[in-house]
Amino acid sequence: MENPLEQFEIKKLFPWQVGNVDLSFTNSSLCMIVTVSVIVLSLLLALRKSAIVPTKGQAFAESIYDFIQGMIGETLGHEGVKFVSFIFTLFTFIAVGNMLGLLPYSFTFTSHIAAVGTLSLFCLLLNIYFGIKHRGLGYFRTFFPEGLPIFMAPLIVPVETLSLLAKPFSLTIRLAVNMSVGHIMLEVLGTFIMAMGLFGFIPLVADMCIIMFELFVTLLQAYIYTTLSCVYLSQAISDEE
Amino acid sequence: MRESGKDITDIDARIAQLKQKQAISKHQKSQTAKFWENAVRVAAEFVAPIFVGISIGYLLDKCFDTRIFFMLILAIFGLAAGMLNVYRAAKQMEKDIHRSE
Repeated sequence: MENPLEQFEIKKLFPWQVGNVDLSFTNSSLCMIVTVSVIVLSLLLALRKSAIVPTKGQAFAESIYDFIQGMIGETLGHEGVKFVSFIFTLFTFIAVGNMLGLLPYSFTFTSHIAAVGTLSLFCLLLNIYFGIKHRGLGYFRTFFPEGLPIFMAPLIVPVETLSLLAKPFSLTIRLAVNMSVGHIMLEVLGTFIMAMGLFGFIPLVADMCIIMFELFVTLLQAYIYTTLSCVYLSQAISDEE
Repeated sequence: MRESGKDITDIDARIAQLKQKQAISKHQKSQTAKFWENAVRVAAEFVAPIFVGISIGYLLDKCFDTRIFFMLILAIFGLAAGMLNVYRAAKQMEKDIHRSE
């Protein structure tokens, strides 16, 4: 039986070492570039001839934009208008990356903690930046809410700090684990198809069902990742405790 | 011709009806999405700070050679942070329900 974890192995396509830092171009980097190219090209193609009465392609692109705008409106309200392009990019990058990972011979970069973790860390830094920009030094009140006696500080400050640091962690783990588990399941069932001979159709049907379910999971996880990023952002910029 | 004339006279009512229908379906969709979001959110938000606390504690213990002192303390803080997160998420859900009513 093949190792089901082999599909997550990072392979160096163009090795490049700068001092102690490995800057090699890997299969993960290639998949990210393919993902970005697919998004940009399909959006350019869909919006090639923008019209008041939209074509199918334009309507599809606009419906994704509307969906993101609605999501931001619900969580961030009027303040969220300036984050639409960022959240749109985040959603399409994760959703298309997840979906391309389901294709044979491709690579799911969203199953790697390093890749998703970097995105989540960027979201955290953005939260802190906009939190400070909107609320000034009042942002640090998040770590020690107003009205609490000062002797509670040694207890509350670490708890709030851990709570803040846990946000990118939970975002990362949720997406990476969901993607990895789905792909491992597909691979394991796939090996049973040949091994079971005539009865191989049983795992084949199961595999087909799982692929359908995975398609749903790819979009659901992208939605959850982006909507929670919006929720965290709204918590950072709002003055409510 | 008469048919189309009739269509035009009640067009405002029909637009209003369609808008109402759309609003209801949009509300139902957003409720389903909210359900999924909350279902996956609460569990992860409870566990994540504990993991982060244990990881940071482990690194600090390694740095200062203090066995499991920091790991234990930060795991307890992580547990408290997890509970606080769940409480906040529940409060947010309550607020959302009141808003939708």
